[in-house]
Amino acid sequence: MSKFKVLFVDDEEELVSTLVERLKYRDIAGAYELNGASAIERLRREKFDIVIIDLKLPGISGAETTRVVKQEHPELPILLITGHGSPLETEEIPKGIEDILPKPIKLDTLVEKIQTVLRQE
Amino acid sequence: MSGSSRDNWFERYRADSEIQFFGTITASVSHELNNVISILNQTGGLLEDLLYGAQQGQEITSENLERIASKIAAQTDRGISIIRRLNSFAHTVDEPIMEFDLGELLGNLMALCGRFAALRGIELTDNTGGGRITVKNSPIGVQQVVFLLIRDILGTGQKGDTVSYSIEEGESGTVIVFRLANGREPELPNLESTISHSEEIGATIEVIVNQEQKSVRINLPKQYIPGRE
Repeated sequence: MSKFKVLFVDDEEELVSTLVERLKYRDIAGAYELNGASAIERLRREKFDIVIIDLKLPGISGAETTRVVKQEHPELPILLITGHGSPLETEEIPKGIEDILPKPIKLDTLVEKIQTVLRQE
Repeated sequence: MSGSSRDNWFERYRADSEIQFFGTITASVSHELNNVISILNQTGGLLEDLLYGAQQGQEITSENLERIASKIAAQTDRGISIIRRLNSFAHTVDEPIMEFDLGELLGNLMALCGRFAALRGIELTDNTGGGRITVKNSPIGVQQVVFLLIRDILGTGQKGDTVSYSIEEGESGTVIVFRLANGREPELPNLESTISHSEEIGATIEVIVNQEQKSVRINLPKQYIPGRE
């Protein structure tokens, strides 16, 4: 039985599918969506403990996806992923997120962050 | 380069420095390379997870190893392709004017721009046919004009739009043609036709906008047109 259920939102399918596979070995159930619109839809019909969203998404941006998810699920924790070492000034960082993680993500760091956020809940 | 009007869109864009253009492209490429490294990093980690599982008595199947090897090979190929494109792009400033394969130059630039289009949900369609088309002009000038045009088109486009590009060869020169299409009434950015030429390098790049046909033609004449306004 998995401890937590995580939803990744990232258009790099090879990356998120591998992350989901690796999380299984750590008793964390993962799933992914490749764009913001499908993630918003999925969250309306399926419960997750935490959502991890890439800032750069095709179509609806990561920031806009975060705003919609926060509006519809105010209690749901959200972590953001950015391809930059630190978010650029031009990137709008939505309010209410737990943290921002730079790519490449270290899995141990990610797991630790998920556990820390969910223990606080 | 000088142009017909300092106020038109082309001159405004030309005011952007080449350094800024290079910065935009390399930022996008580094982002894509970061994704490749991230996938390789996680795939290596997955292999470690499997080995750890094997040490605990779990079976490693040949299917799993084949799948992981295939992932590594695919991402390595992707990384090599990105680096080749970036290297080719970087060498376009070697000479101010030279003979080059326009199809290859355009394909390379469009691949580098692909991420911008993907983020907007807009499809770039290559209708060049893939043959070698040699032109003599300023490769960096041509790329900058094409990039700035694409940036503007993407800026006003909507998800589901398509931008196709083709190359037409004529007696007087070569023309890159961009056409917009979508399910609604297509919109071209508020562009004006213009011409830019450099006496220093003897190259002319002419942009012809047709709002009715929703097309933009970038004309690369064989001969430098010094006085044409």
